Amino acid sequence: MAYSTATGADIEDFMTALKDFADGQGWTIGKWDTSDKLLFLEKGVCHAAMRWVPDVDVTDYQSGSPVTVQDDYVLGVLGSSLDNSKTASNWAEQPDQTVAGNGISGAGARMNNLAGPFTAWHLFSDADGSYIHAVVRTGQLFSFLSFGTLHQGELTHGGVAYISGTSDTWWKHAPGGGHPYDYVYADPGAKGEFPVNTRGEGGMWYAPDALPAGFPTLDCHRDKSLRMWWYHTQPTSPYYYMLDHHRLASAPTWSSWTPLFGIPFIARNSASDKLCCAGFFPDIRVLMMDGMLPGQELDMSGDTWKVFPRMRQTSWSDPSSIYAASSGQYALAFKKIT
Amino acid sequence: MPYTNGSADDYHDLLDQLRTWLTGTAGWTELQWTAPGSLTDVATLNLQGPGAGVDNRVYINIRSQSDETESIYSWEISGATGYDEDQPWGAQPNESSRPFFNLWENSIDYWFYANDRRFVVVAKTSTTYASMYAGFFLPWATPAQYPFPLYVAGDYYDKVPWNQANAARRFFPDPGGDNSLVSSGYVRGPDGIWLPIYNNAISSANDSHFGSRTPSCAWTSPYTAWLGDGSGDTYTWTSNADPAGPFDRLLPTAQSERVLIPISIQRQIAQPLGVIDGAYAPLGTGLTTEQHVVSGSRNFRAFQNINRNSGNDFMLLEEVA
Repeated sequence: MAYSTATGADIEDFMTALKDFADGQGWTIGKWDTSDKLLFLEKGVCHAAMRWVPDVDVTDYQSGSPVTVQDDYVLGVLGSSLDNSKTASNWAEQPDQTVAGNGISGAGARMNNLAGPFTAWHLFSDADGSYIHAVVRTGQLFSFLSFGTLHQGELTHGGVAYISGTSDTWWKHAPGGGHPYDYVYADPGAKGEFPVNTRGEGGMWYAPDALPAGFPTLDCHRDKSLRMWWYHTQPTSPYYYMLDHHRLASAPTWSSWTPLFGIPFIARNSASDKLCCAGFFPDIRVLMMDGMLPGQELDMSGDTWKVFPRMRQTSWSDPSSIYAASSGQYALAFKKIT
Repeated sequence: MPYTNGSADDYHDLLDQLRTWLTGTAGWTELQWTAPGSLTDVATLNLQGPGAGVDNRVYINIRSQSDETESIYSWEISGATGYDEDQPWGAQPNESSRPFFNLWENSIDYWFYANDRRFVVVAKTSTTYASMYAGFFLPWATPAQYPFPLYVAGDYYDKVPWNQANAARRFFPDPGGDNSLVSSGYVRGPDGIWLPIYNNAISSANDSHFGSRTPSCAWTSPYTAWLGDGSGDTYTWTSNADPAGPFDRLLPTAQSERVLIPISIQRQIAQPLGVIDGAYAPLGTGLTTEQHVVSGSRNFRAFQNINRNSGNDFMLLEEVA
């Protein structure tokens, strides 16, 4: 069974479900420690270490006045293998992993918005268990985490591992940086945006043999790597600074067909500023979900795709979406294999 | 989807060889053929392809044009939704505007690709590779929803010498046009309206992505991008200006392989239409023109964009025996 859905009260419930689902998909659980809050697991070239952080107080400025709220999160890194002896203080120091730290900041993957209780989570994989996608819903808010091996099509390299999560938050940071508001919209170009993690440093990949000479084999996604510069968006308008892939995937009103666009994985050699596309994020597509509801299923050529908003579905014409967690009609579809 | 290659004596012989091959091998029907008597006579050819069925045939019209004093030897190409033998040139049912496929009077190496829905011609004149596409693309719709998804593209919006070089002269997946939105490529929308495809505008530069398309324009991805915010080159895949499009910075994998992506047809302010049939954009530099590329069990051939042959200037055409 490569799909599972359930619900839970808190982040540990979610991590337990994630661990059990991965175990069922043939992943080797190297470490499961609810005291240190650690989950290490591996399959093929993907060697992932994660630490979850509960009971985190943050300051939300959505109302204009600071309010203390809770927002829990998961951090994740990759290694060239797994060192299961690591603990809470050094969990990220996996073999050949030198770019991400052990704490809140750093270059690894991060999934926010996990305070719970959850409306539901959805866990996806394929017949080989080559990847795990997690979609967590709290009310109308969605967050994502994914790790595994890229789909490489006809490319003959030995596989590329990745880990990525939604680091955008539902709560609003303090104003700053010259902006009157630090909006909480899901900017597909923002640092940590799932799955491309394009601005700044976020997410991580391990490519033992796929990339040209001079490229690192284990690195985080870096500025100007996966990002195409059109990965900017204002979700209050479908036509302003449009995320190109989403635009390409607009649902035609004249037919019942919605094109689902694959998301290329492009690694950057920051020393030479060269790029290399080594495949696609597996069984994830971008689309516009106008006329659809969160969780809606699309049947295409015998495949079932389940649609979720990038953060929270809002109308393009809803001015209140500027000041609240919003992703307009930008959406992701996950292949549901049962 | 057969393909072949060979050599023709000149632009007229190329048309005659295409006619013979399409009707003899690829299952197309000759509706009318007027053979030229001399190099500068006008040849006309009306073709019907099987299309998507009895009610959805493909109709393509070609006429030769020449001007010896300007060294112009060209084909004028159009698509239509039917054929009426009593109508003069240019008056077929729902006929498109007519882009040009610009050749010469000397020997031409060629590559033909065809299936029931469309045909493609690549022609080598000296070191320049011109190309054309005529027929259906692959729409995101059923034949009932979108009965005539026609894409007709040459290399330029006007007849010009084979060696004309400017930003608007392109290969067929990447059309260009003049500044009044007359294009080297046209797509017929689901509403029956023909739209110019306007990736590039006239310029002496190698590329000139056009950022002021009107609502009646279409464009193709990934050879250009939406550009609706007036940002010009900044947001295109193919721009070389850092930190813009990545194409010229994309290297092949360590195994010298590239991801291939379909070429989609987009409208400026409406929903996208579909993808071009049998042509792909390679995500990786380092190709050479005419290079045979194997991807798993599939075979492709790389062709450059007219006179351009640097990083982002290639398409791959699938060769299916």
